[in-house]
Amino acid sequence: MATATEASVLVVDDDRNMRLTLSMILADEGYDVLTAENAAEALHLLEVRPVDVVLMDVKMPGMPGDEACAEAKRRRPDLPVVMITAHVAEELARGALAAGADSILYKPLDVDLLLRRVAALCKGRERLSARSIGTA
Amino acid sequence: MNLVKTMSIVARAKGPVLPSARKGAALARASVLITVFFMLEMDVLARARTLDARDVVALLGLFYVAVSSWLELQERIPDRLHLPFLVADLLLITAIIYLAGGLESEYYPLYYLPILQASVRLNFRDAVSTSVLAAGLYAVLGCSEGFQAYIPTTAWLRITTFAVSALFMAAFFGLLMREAREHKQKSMEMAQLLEEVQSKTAELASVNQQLLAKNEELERKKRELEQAQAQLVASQKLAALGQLAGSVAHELRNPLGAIKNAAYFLRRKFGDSGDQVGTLLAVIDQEIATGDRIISSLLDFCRAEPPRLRPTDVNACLEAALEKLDTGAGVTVVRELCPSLPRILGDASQLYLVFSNIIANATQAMPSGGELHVQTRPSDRCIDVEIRDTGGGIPAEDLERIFEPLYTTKAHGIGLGLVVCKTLVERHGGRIGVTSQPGRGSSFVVKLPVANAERNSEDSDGDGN
Repeated sequence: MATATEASVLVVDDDRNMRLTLSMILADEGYDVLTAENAAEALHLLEVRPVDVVLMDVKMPGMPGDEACAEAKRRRPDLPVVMITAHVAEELARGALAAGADSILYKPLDVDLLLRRVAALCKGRERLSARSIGTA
Repeated sequence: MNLVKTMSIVARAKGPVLPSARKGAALARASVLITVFFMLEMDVLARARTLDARDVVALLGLFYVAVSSWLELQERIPDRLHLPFLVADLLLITAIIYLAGGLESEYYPLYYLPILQASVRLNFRDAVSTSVLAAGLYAVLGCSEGFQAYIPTTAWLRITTFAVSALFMAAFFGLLMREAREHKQKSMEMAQLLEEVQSKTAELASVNQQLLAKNEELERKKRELEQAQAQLVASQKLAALGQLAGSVAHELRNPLGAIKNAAYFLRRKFGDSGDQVGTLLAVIDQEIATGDRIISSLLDFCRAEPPRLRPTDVNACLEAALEKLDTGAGVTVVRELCPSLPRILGDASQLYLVFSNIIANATQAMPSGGELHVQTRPSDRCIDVEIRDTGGGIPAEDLERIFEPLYTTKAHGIGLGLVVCKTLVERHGGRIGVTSQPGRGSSFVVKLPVANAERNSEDSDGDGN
C-alpha cells in the first residue's frame, strides 16, 4: 500500500481525533506526516520543517483556516494547500479559493478522494521543484 | 249659523292645523258682514230713499271687509294687528247698527262676531276686552240717541243685557279656546317630545350599531394581532432553532469525520480479516452516511438563502430528483409530466431539494413497494406538481401539523424536511398542500406561480439579446 513518495504532509485541525486518524491514514500511505492544532503552530512548522502539502481545517480557534492559508501562500506561494470544511456553503468555498487554496474537501471526508488529491498535488510539486532546480 | 261656524273653527283649532282656523275666521267675517250689508242696502232700497251718507259708509264697510278677509286668507295680518282690526270691526258694526236704527236695531248681535273672532284668534284677555269695548260702543249708541231725545229704561236694559251676554260669551269662548289652545300646545309638545324620543332612539340605535361594528373590528384586530404575535414567536423560535441546528450540525460533522476516517483506516487494515469485521465496518459507514444526511437536512433548513430566480424547467427539476431515488424497494414511478409546461421563475437547486424531500417521504411511506405518481400540469397562472404515493397515508391529526418544525411521524427523522419544503415553496410565491386517505396513500401538491415567470423570462431573453 505504502508508496515511495516520502513527501511531507502537514495536517492542521483543532480536533485531536481528526488529526490522529488523518495522520494514521497518511502515514500508512507512506507520507511523512506533521500535525498542528492551530494556525500559529502550523505557520511555525512551515518555517522549520520541509512541508510538501498542507491539509487545513477552515474553522479553528484563533486564526481561521483561510487566513492561515493566505499567510502560508504569502510566505511560500508554491505550497499546495487543501482546505477542509464542515460547511457546504458556497461563500465559504469562495473565501477559501480567494485565500489561494488549491482544493476544497468537505467533512465527513471521502478519504479516497483526499488521497488522490494529495498524491496529485505532491506529484505536481515534484515537477515544480525539479523545474526550479533545473532553472537554478 | 255663526255659532256653528265658530264651533267648527274651535274644533279645528284643537288640531295641529292653525291656518284652517284662520281661513274659517276670514270666511266667517266675510260671509256674515257681506250678508248684513246686503240686508242693510235692501232695507235702504225698501224705504225708497235716495243715496246718502249711509250708502257711503256701507260701501267703505264692504271694501274694508273684502280687504281684511283677503289679508286674513293670505295670512298677511301680523299678530300685533289683530287687535286694531278687531277695533275697526267693532267701529264698523257700530256704524251699521247706528244706520240701521240705533239701539232699536235688530242688528246688534253683529257685535258677537268680533268677540267670537277675538276668542278664537286671540287670547282670553283680548276677548274680554273686545266684549267690554263692544258693550261700551253699544252704550255710546244709546247715549247718542239719548242726547237727541231721552234714554228710556228699556234702552238701559238692552245695553245691560247686551253687555252681560257679550261678557258671558267672551268668557265662555275665551276659556274654551284657552283650554283648546293649551290642549293643542300640550299635544304639540307631546308630539315634539315623541319625535325627539324617536329621533334619539334612532340615534342611539345607530350609535349602538356603530359601537357593535367597532367592537367587531376591534375583535378582528385583536385576533390578527394575536395571530401575528404567534407567528412572530414561531418565526423567532424557528430562527433560534435554525441557528442552534446549524451550529450543532456543523459541530457534529467533525466527530463524524473522525469516525469515518477511523473506519477507513480499520477497513484498510482489517477489512479482509473476517466477515463480521467487514459487516460491522459497513454498518459504521452506513450510519455515518445516515447521520450526514440528517446534518445536511438540518443545514438546508438553516440556510436562509433567498431563491435565485431564473427561468426554470420544473419537469427537469423533478427528473433530477427522481434520478436520486432508490427504486430498489419495489417502488414503480409513474410519470405524467406535461410536455408543454411553461417555465417558471425559480431556483432550480431549491426546487430540486423540495421535490427530492417529498419523493423521499413518499418512498419511505411505501416500505413494501407501491406506485409513485409524479404529475405536472398547468392550472390558472400556476403550475401544479403532484407527488402521490400508495403508502399507508397520514392520519388526520398528523396532517394538520405535518408542516410544523420538529414534528415527525417517522422513527428516524427530525421533522424538518417538510418545513424546509414549505419555506422554499413560499419563497417562490407558491403553496404546498397535502391530502391523505389513511390506508390508501397521500398526495402532495406544490403550486408554483407562472405569470411573472413568463414576463421575466422574456425580459431576461431581451437582456440576452
